[in-house]
Amino acid sequence: MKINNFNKRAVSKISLLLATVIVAASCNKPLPDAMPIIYAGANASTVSLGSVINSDTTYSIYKAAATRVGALAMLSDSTKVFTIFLPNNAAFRASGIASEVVIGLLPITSVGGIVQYSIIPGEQFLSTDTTLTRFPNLQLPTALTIGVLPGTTVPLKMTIFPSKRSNGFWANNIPVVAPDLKFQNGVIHLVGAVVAPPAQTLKGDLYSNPNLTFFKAAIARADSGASGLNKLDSLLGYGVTNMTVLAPNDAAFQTLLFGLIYTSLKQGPDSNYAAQIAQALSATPAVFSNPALYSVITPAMVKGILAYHFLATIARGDTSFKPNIRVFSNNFATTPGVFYTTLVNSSVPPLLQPGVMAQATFTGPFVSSLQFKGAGTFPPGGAPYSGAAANALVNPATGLLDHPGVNGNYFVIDKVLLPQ
Amino acid sequence: MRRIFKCVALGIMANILSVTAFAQSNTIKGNVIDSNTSEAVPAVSVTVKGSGAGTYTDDKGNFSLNPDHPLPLTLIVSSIGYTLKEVQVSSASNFITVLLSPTSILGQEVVVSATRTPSRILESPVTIERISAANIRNTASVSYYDMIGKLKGVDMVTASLNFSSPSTRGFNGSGNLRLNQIVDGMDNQAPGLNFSVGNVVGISELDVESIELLPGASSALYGPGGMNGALIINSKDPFKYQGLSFQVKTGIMNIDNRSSKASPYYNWNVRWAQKVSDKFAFKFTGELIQAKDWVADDYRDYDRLGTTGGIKAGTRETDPNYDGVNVYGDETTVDIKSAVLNQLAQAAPFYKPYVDALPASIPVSRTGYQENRILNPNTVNAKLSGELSYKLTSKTALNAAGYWGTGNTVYTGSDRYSLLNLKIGQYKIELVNPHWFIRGYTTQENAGESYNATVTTRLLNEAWKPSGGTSGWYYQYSLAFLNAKLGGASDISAHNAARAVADQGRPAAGSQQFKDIFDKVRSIPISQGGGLFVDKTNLYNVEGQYDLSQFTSNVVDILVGANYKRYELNSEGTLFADSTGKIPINEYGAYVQATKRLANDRLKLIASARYDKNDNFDGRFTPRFSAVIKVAEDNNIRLSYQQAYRFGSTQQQYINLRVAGGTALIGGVKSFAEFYHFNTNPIYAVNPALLAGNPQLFSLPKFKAETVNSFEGGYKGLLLEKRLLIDLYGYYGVYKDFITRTNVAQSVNGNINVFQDPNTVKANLNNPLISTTYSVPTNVSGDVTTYGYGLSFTYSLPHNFTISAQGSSDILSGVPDNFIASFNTPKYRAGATFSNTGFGPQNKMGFDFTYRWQDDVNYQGDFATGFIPAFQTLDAQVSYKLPAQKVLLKLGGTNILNQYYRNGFGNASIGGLYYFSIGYNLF
Repeated sequence: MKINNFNKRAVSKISLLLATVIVAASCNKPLPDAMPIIYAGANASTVSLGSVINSDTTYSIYKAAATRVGALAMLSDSTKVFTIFLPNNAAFRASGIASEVVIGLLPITSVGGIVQYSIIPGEQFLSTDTTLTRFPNLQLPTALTIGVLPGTTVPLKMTIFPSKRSNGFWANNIPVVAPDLKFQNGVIHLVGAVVAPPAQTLKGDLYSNPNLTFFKAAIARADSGASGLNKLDSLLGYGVTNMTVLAPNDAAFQTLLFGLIYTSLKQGPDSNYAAQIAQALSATPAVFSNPALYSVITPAMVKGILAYHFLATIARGDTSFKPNIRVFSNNFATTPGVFYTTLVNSSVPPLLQPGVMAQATFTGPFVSSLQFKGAGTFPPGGAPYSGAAANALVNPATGLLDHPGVNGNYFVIDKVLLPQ
Repeated sequence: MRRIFKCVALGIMANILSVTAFAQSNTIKGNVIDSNTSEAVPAVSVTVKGSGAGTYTDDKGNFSLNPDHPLPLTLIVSSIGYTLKEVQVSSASNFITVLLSPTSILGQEVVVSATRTPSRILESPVTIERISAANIRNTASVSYYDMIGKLKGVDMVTASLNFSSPSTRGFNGSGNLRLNQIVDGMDNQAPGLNFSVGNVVGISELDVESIELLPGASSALYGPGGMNGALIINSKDPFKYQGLSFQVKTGIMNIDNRSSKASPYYNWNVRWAQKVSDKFAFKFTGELIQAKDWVADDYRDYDRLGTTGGIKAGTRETDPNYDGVNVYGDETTVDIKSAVLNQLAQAAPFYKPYVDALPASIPVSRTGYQENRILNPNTVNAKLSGELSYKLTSKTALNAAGYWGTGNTVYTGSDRYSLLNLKIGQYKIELVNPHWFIRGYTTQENAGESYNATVTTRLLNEAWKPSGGTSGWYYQYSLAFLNAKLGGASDISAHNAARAVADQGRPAAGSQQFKDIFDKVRSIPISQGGGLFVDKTNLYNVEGQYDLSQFTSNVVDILVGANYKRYELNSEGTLFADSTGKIPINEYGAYVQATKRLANDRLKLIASARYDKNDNFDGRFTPRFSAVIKVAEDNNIRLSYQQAYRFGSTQQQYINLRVAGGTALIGGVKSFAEFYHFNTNPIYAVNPALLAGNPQLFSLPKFKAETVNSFEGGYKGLLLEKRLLIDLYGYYGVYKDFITRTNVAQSVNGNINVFQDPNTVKANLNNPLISTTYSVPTNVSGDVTTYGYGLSFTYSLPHNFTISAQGSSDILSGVPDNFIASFNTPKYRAGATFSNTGFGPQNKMGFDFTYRWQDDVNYQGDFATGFIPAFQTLDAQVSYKLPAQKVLLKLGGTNILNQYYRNGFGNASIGGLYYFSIGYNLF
């Protein structure tokens, strides 16, 4: 009996103690699950780009355009991120699109081009992004697809060229009037006008410009004997490069050609006659294909002069200068004495031939004057860069100095620049 | 010295040749019965007083003895757990019945391992823990090997159901290099691994007579490797433990396991021992365990750098470079920015600014497979053993024994390895005498179809779709990524879209396509671009020991011994740098121990010393000095100083293996430095400075043996009328030349620039085309200190009730920054047991409740490093005996609260296992 009592007492006490210990101790912690990384939206805002475009009445024309091409839903997608150079209604009107009604009347490809070219997909670029200050600008793809990269599944996108300087922020040559409007899935930079996608290559644009018939003929003369992309003609038509071309107008070429021909003829006794002949010969672009002048206007000379009108740089790891930059008027320096290398530097080092000198003068966010100087003078003999500057002429279609193309930008200038 | 050898030789000869020649005139027969329960008591020692003659009772309690002494005589009848009894025998014709009275065994056990000679556990000069066959019968643990993890100061790291590794005094891991496991006198290590594969090969449960654990340094007696302890497991003598025994254990596990369905557990055990005559006995044992293994299911994201790293936030859907701890194949990582996108931007320069605007480095991992989708969960362990024992004389036996085990299990080393059809055989022949032994044995290892799960899965991905090339996975991924970005996707959305594209047609886990590729890859040796590791490394050992006390006891008791050990590394280039042939490693050593009792046995002084030499290391001399002070009867204080050392393991000497993240694990012998041109193409420490772009040259010093000087004090004694056993200890150890691994990096092209850009240095470290990260064994230049203490109380209540409690602590200090110590030991652990070996009518009922808690651990492993929270387990069993049928029924469970825990980072989560067992003739 005593034993049984002991057993019961002891067992119950010890069991109680044991149970207390176990209960008092915390449970084993279960193995934690993998913790997902929480990605915040591009910005702290809870409003998507699509929402703000949908709701802000000052964007109603853009909204109409985006809706028409089905882009609004994409801009509302919180898993995506965009940078939009967005023209508000005022910007549309400044570009000649007065209302949503006009959007409805435009060809849908044009509307799509306007909307998609305004959007940089997949990244948010703020005005504070230091890469925007690089010369001349930052080439970035837009949502406008123009093909597929050969041999890949990667789409070929039309590119846009934002840039930032101390005096402004631009998409191509269109100023940003209100930068860095941040929303949940990206940023809006309001632009002063529609940033229209270029429609044709420089070749198409240049060759169809009635003031550049000599330039076209000069290209043909310079390309004599050349082939492939060594031909300037081919280069101007090559869609996936970047070029900046300073295209002297017909008057500029006529002036130069007159001088060249006159100089070659005035060795004779009658200078008036020589002037008449030079005047007649330089009056048409056919002067470049006139066999009688082959010795005066050689392909090498023409090519040398034209090469001086193609801005070029040498890329890291590359061995020669190539026409690989797209410079808008607003990308040039505002201070004098800044040189820009050209295709001439493919054969002459910058130490000997520093390139062309350029200087931009701004009125507000736009460049009102853009001047270039070459090393040579006409007539020859002047000190380097001492000749009169060539002025970029206004593009009558836009009222600006630039002529943007698919593969570059050109300026019509009123003088031929001479490398020496 | 020559004289000593002469004495030894003469002694051995005398023993062998002194064959007894007594006529078998009088055979004494009898029976031994438990006075409380009236049960027959097997394996009781029956010896003739004043003589060496003796026998044991068989499984029915009967004995038969031919005395070497004329009648009348006195028989001494003794067994652990019973009061010794002397019986007068005057006539052989009378059948003798001996009633033995049970008594408390607290503190009465005899241990051998502490001094290599028998002594009472209370008088051990060093801390020792013992598990007896009786403990095993009453344990709630599902396996006797798991009981080790419940001992004071012991940690267990469980890689899988059949692969647990005990450790003492720190440095836990799946495979403990600092603990010697000796089974029936044989070093039980898998020689290719240098540690024991748990209990895959060894003694089956019914054959275990005792387990002795020596925590702390033990090299002075057991040779190199015993830095932190020695585990000695002894089997049952077939002369003593006879008859047929079996046990069937059936259980259920994986209940409420988030990664596996509930599954059965089976454990069959059989032992048959027969004493054929007074001279010859044999035994055979077998054990088969079959179950579905625990699952390693840590799917958290791992930030890997060489063999270091840590958990970070991320899932497969939110981290393109996700590398799940137990997800394999996703260790392959490539920086798509430098590998593909930059090249693409080069070809399409109008995209260059856009590509440049993407992050400087875009590491992307391949899609992996969870462990439970690639490893076969069926785990099996089959063990067979047998022994033939022939007594050349009454005291000298010639034993031949073999132990063979095979199984499937999972091991966590530098990666997770599926040990598939692993086979290890140990074979020995020995001459054993109470005063001496000569033993030769070999361990034959065959890794079977074992493979590196991580490497195999990575290669499976490569076999399905190569990572590189313009049709490769990363090229497809990169294009799809850019495509998605150009569609406006955020980075992570673009990554997920890209992964969906690159993974199109990926073999689903478990599909026939998956199996075909996986099986093909895992069958190809690592050296030939597969995942199979071949390991046919063998170990050969001869050793001998002589106790000279019979000649020297007047002055001092002397024990001498020596051994020669030879490893033959053979992995066919899959594990070691042995593609051109086997690599032999020779080790030899000798030891001597002197014991002197003073002050009327109140003081026992023991001095031991051992010398060892390994081919690749300088010879080492290690001493041990210990003292046992008897402060009162059954109360002793022990003090010891011992030095222990270990040579680098076979792997630390010769491994040559690429692991998960591409890191090359290499050995420490100097030929590696030459082979990998460390002298001409410098290596840099992988440390914060390197990640900051400031590489620091790393000079690889000579690889030396590791040493520990350990000071220990303790007390063990019986109090309260011998009902309370107290054991406490404290130790302080100083490690010198602590062996660790450290990561170094080398540029493939000898270009330091690849380490000088902080934005890309990490991606470059993980890009095998740019750099190689080596994990090299090295010695810590400063001292590494460990210290700790332990305390246990065991109180023996009436009627076989016992309650015990214990606590212990181990602390590491002094590890230099950037060295991986892998201490992996909780600062505190505690436990309690409440048990009864027989209560109720005829003491038929019994039970055992064992509770254990351990503190959290910052676990460092070559496979993965991370935090293991504190956890507790409660094991319990209730049993019922059917004495007439000699049957023991047991219902029990381990971790019965079914609170899943892990004790090694990256290892399986262990839940409750509930079982019912029927045992027959258990003793």
